Amino acid sequence: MFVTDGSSHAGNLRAGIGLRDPHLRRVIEDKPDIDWLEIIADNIIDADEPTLSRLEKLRRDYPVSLHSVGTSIGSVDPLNFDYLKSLKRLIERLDPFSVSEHLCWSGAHGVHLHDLFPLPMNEETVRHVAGRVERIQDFFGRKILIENVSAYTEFEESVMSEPEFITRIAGRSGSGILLDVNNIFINSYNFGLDAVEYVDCIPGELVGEMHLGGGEQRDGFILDAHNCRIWDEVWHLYGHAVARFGTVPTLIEWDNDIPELEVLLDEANKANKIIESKCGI
Amino acid sequence: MRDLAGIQKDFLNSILTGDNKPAQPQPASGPSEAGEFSAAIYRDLVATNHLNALKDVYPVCLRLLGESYFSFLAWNYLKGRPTDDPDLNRYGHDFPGFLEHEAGVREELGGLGYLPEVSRYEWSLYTASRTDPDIIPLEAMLSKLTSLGDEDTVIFRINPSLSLLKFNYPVVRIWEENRLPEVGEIVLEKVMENVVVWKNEGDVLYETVDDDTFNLLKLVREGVRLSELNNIFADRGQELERIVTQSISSGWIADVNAAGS
Repeated sequence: MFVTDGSSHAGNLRAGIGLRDPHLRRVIEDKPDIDWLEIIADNIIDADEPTLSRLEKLRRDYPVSLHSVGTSIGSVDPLNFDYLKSLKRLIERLDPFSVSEHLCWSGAHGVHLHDLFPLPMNEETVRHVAGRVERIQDFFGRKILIENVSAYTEFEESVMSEPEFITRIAGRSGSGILLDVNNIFINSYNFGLDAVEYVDCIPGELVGEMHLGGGEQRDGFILDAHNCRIWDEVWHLYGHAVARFGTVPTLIEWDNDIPELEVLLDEANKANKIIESKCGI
Repeated sequence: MRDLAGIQKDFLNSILTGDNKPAQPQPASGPSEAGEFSAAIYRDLVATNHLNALKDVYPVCLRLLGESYFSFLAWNYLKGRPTDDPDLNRYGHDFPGFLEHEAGVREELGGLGYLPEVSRYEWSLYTASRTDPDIIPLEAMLSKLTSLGDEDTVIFRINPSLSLLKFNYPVVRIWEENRLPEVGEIVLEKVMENVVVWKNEGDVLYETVDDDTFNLLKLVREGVRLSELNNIFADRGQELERIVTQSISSGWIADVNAAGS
């Protein structure tokens, strides 16, 4: 398994859930039986001392991963070190077992649009992004994981496959990969690719975390909506990924129309059962 | 072939130009073969994401303008004043300024002269809700004030969630009436209104205050020392005491320290 750094590692963590506002009180008070929690860094980027103290207390009960959405790793604009300083502060306070960001861009030329846009997959982008990931890792003093994103467009400038693209950036920068299985399924559907082949092209030693989420069928494409239960096709693909990569911390993502906590725990149990059956635990 | 900078520039242009009419064409075989289709998907996602962020912050402005017109303005705001801030939680900070500008150039907004003030009020409520101020209790603060002794060095610390707002319309009344399902009758004569918005013990609060209180809080926020406040209120010592006591008990003043400590 990929280890994020020497002091804080994922051990044998299985399924975790995202810590979201509607469940915060119950998680703090009831301490549900779950391996780990994901915290979206951007939700607490300006957090005051009382909020951080509460999260530090929660951290004593659960390992946490810190996931961000605002770095815009693939942008041609300079890295935003004010933002990165805020992330570093959270890393130091929460000691997450993994720190991750998306392999995408969210803005350029002085405009930030708060979405996860895909990148043209070619040599120029590999060099550009790998260099930026290296600088971020140097600044944090630890490795990060980069996540494959869902996409609704392709660029004619792309000359390599997506698994080759992410693997080369990870290899060149020394980062790990956060493999979003749902995004693989979505992109395979949207662009007519082979999802199993995608998974098979990813070196297992790079995979530090996996994501599962629900999509939404639109006219002619699937949207990465994170608003429903995980599709059967994605569970199937996840089973293949677990058989290949072994036990990897796996997040149940649900960010819109957030249901009762029990629904998330139920999805996490499904993931755990797949891990048990594939890994013989 | 375009380089990465050119690709990103073209991509942003394709999103931020044109109408935001959520296009739902059926592509022949996936979005990759229809550039405009891809742009429409991302344009719709970006517009919806930012519109929802504004709706969360400005619910009464949304009611006053109606869903359709609010969406129209939100899209123009995104195109006209795009941000470089990666934090979506801070999105919309200059929406009041945008509304003020639009009110000056759009005839249809002529009857909503109070709208920019309502939006400033809602931004203050929102920012207060996102702050978790550390306020020391009244007794502890009074005790600290006594122990500090020398008024030349005493300096108050304002509650970091606090906003001081001056309005020309009865904004609080407009806001209160329009957040409820049944809109009450509002007399829209121009008034001067001083409003304080702040957070204390987890609650976002607001109160209309007199000029003296408003001005004193402004001075405290600027870091004016107690000795200077005493000079300003030279012949009205009791009034100063009343305002300071109220400011401490309300949580407008969060702490007191010796200057430079």
